[in-house]
Amino acid sequence: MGADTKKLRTRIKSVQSTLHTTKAMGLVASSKIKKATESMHKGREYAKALSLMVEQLSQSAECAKSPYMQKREAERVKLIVIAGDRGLAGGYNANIFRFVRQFSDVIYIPIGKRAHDRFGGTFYSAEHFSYKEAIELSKTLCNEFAEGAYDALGIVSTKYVSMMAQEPTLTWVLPLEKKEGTASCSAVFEPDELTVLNAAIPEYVAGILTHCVKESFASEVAARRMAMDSAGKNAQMMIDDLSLAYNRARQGAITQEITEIIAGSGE
Amino acid sequence: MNTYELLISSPDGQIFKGEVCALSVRGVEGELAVMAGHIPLVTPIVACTCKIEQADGTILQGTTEGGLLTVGKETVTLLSGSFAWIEE
Repeated sequence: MGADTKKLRTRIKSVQSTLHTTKAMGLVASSKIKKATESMHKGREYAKALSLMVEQLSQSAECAKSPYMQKREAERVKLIVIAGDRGLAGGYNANIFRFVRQFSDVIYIPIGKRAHDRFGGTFYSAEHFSYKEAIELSKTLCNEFAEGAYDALGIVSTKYVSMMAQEPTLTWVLPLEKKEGTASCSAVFEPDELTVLNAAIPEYVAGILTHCVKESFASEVAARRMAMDSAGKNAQMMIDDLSLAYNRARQGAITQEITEIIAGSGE
Repeated sequence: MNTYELLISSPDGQIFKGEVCALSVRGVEGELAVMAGHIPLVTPIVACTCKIEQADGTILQGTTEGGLLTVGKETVTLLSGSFAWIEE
């Protein structure tokens, strides 16, 4: 019995320390959520304005000549995969990698430590991804696309639906698609439409990429917060069960001792 | 002096929104100033110092590393990847 109670005590202590860790991680995630969602909402406006402008530009007949609007057979595809820098965020990283599995023969450009560990290549942090890094990456990718080094560019990121739900999505960025129903812009383009579009594309890709990284980071923190909440609850339940078992064992040992003493005194 | 609404937006959020008299930036073809009643225009801008003259006469200055300038009928939008104010 003595050995049993000792074992249970050690387990309770170990689960308690896990509970402390999950609580601390949950608190860190909660403090980051507000900043991350605010930054996501701020960036959304910029990305929307850029998309609208590029959509309007793509309506012009002149812009159809742009190398960024040339639709080719999508044989060589590049995918920017945005995952987290850290684990312990529930299914956040696993969902992204499961989503990516449906594409074969694709060149991956990872953002976030977890994606970098899986796919290799240059390391970009998901938490501290700056616009400067985005524009450099975007310029390289746009030049390669214009030269015909690959046929399509997509971004795999996590869409922030709510605190409780986040889902992996794929956004195709290049080649640009002419959307039906968008009113063409009647403004003057200086120097001309094609030059404006070609100059706008790297900015557009960088803007969309920055927004996707921010949205993914907000999803990561929200997913971590929820995961830590449920891990904390599970740890508390385990502690309750173990405490019950420990008290039973302790009581059992006392009862046995008393019985032995009484039995001994009666002889 | 006539004014118009200027909106400066970057990935970090809205940098400026307000009534202004004039905005001067450097476009790909040279310096340009936008005043109220300018014809609708879309042009890329290069890294430069932006000068904003507000309705009350105060002048604000900021640096941009390039972006896109859209002049609409009522609103002028400057989309810039990075924009920082110059402290007086």
